[in-house]
Amino acid sequence: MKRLLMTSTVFVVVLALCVGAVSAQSDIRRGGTVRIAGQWGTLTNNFNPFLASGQNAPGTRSALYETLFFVSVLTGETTPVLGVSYEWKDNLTLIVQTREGVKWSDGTDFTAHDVAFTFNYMKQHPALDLSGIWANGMESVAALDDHTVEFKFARPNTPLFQYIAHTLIVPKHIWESVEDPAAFTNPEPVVTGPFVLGRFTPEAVTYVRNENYWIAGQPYVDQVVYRATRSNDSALLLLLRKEIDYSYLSIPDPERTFVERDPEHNRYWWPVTNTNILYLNMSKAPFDDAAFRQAMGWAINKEALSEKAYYGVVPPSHPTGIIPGQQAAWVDPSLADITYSYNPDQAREVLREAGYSWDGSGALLYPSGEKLPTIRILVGAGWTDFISMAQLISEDMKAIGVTMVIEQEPWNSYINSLMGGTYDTAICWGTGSGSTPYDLYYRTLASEFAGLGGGQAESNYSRFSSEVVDQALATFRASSDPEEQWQAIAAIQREVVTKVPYIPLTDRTHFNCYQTATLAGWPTADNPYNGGEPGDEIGARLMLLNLHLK
Amino acid sequence: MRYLLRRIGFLLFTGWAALSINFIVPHLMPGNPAQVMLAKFQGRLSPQALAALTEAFGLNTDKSLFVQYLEYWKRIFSGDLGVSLTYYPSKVTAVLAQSVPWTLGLVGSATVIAFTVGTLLGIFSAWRRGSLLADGLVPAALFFNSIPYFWLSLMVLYLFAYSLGRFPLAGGYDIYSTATGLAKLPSIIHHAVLPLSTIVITALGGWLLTMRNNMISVCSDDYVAFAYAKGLPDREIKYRYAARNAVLPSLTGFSMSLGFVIGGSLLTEVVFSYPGIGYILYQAVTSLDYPLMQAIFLFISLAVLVANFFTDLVYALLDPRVKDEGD
Repeated sequence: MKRLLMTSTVFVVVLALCVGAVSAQSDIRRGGTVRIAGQWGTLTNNFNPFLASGQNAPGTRSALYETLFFVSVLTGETTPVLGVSYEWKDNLTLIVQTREGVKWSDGTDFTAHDVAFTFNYMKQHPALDLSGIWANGMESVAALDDHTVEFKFARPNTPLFQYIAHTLIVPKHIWESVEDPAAFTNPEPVVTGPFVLGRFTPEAVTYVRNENYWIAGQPYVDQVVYRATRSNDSALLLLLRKEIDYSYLSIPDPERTFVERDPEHNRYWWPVTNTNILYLNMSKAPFDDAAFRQAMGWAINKEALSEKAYYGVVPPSHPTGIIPGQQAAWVDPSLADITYSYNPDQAREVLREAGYSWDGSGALLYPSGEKLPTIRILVGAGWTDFISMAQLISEDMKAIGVTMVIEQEPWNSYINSLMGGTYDTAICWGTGSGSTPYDLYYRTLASEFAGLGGGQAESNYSRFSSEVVDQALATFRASSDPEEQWQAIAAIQREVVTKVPYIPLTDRTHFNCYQTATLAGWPTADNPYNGGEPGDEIGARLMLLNLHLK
Repeated sequence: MRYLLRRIGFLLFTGWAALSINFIVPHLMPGNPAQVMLAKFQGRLSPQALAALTEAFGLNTDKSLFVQYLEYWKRIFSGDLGVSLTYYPSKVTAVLAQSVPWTLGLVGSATVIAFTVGTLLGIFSAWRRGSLLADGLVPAALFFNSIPYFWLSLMVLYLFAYSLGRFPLAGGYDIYSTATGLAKLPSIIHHAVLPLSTIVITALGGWLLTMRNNMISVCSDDYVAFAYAKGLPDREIKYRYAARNAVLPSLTGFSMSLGFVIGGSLLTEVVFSYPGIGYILYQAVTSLDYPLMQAIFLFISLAVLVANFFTDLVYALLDPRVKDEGD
């Protein structure tokens, strides 16, 4: 009798726990479709994860394939995906533990050998290595056993971790027989991700839930549909009529044009991940003079730029270019008084001290007495926000005696002028962004990208070169000691605010817009779990996993 | 016969010139596609990717321009139009095959409808001039002709698709339907109504006015007066005597329009998110996608030349005097 009582008690308790667990999960309704629209034009029937996004179908990077980890640019946090933990040994060896219990969508087990294969495949076919991992110091990758991968480096480069973490992993048993991976369209993708391919049409691609996904019970939704539009306006109209749930839209004045249409459901989340920068071509006069560049920094009213070009939604930049989410951790407090906040008098003072003067009509003269030429400010044709900023900047500069004229060029000429160094000044974005300021500084300030000697400047458009900066970048790379890295960034910041190779104007955001009528679980500023990434990027995987019917 | 041979010779010569220019012009544009692609990612790609992309796109060639020109001709004759850079690694022919039917369907039928309706209305307007309706068509035509196309299409989209919800907001067909073959037709027509009507409305006016003016000047010719004197029925004079001669100048314009149909209608495609060649061409130009750009320009040139050639032949049929000219 006692035994029966005991057994039945245990049985009831276990049953209660099970019911409790089930009902906790059953609080979330299953089913539904996430509908995403984007200005992709005609979709391309290509699911090759090695290609640059835009050359493969949207969803390849977010719904199908997975990475080792996800590093959020906003918070710096690392979320484990196919990798569960990592460890640096003496900055030259990285050990990653891979997840157990993951299966590819064709039933094969996922192991560390797939990871090792993916990286060695990129070494074998350099056209696939778009993050430049092998070109940046990695020496070898090997699977030590079924769940451990060892990355070895010839020279230390700890920031490379972000690119290793964000490499999409492919199955060895499928790809080892592919001869020309750059030309392979991967029509039947074998994946580990939360969704598998459903149906492709040139206008929309549908993904359906992966029944064998390694997170039990997720994804909550049944399908994800990515549909193509050919303009932002089309996508906005679809969103307003609730025919789609999410789109990546840079709409002017989102409060009025979007939220006010349906304040209960329409939301936008524009987290700052980068900076809009006024690049100064330091290989040309007067931009070869640090005093002139500093004066420009004081003369430009960045608050006004934020107000006029972005309706106040996107704030002005910090003079170091470091984004707000990273300022607390990285900004050197000793530089706090170099604010470059709008002060035309200060600008004139700096110029006067450097020997500049003004003639009778107020035009600025070089110390040699020559008049300054008309300076061009380059923007992309039709980019209304950049054009507004350029107009305000030229007005600000007129006030200190410099004449500027706006030059709009179509996309390819614009890039050509930037990389070729034929522009005077140009408004562009930061050519690097990541979870620390290193990425921005490396891309925009390292000598190797400055096109020195008359070559192409891949990303250091200002063509700035400094021993101090190169040295600090190398120190940061070679270290995993937070204090040492902080000192390195502080040294670079000092160069940025004193030498002013470029002028950060306003912050730059991602443009997530969505409506909450059908689905819940969206990332927000209070819960930035996906790093604010667009709906077809690797961070969106977390969003697709979290969304569920209301 | 001589006329035919002359026309063929002219066609071949202009074809050669057009194709050569088609080869040279994209190469004169500044920049290179690998650069453009690298910059497009706004820092998400490593600067070292420039080398990877250059290799993937096959741009690291040091062949002289002349050698490339000869290879270009060889490829055209073998039907190999190359691999698109924007849609890498899809072949150019595959990219075009997807979009050309949409453009021919939409813009082609819009052009034919606009021409036919415009010309018939022009005949009516000229024949019955003096009556309120016929004369009222003139300012109406001028008005519709002058409306900026993008404004009209945005208004139509906003009113009928967004506010009233009677027509779809975007796309060429219903993306959620699993119908195949002819069952897709109702959805396709439903999606085509708005774009088609905006193109027809703005294009109609031009044809109407041209035809009306031609008719009026033809009606004052001697042979029309003679036809009346002979006692021929009105209908016969209107169509077989007057309209047949009045339509000749319009025909030339019509053939040019038909040729340009294949260039797509970028504004229509952008506003209505309609599939077609226009947007593909725009993407190709801004990404410096040489193979795709050249292929599309090639087709546009050929289409215009061939359309012109056939118009010359039709012209000769309608107006026999043309054949003997120059003899």
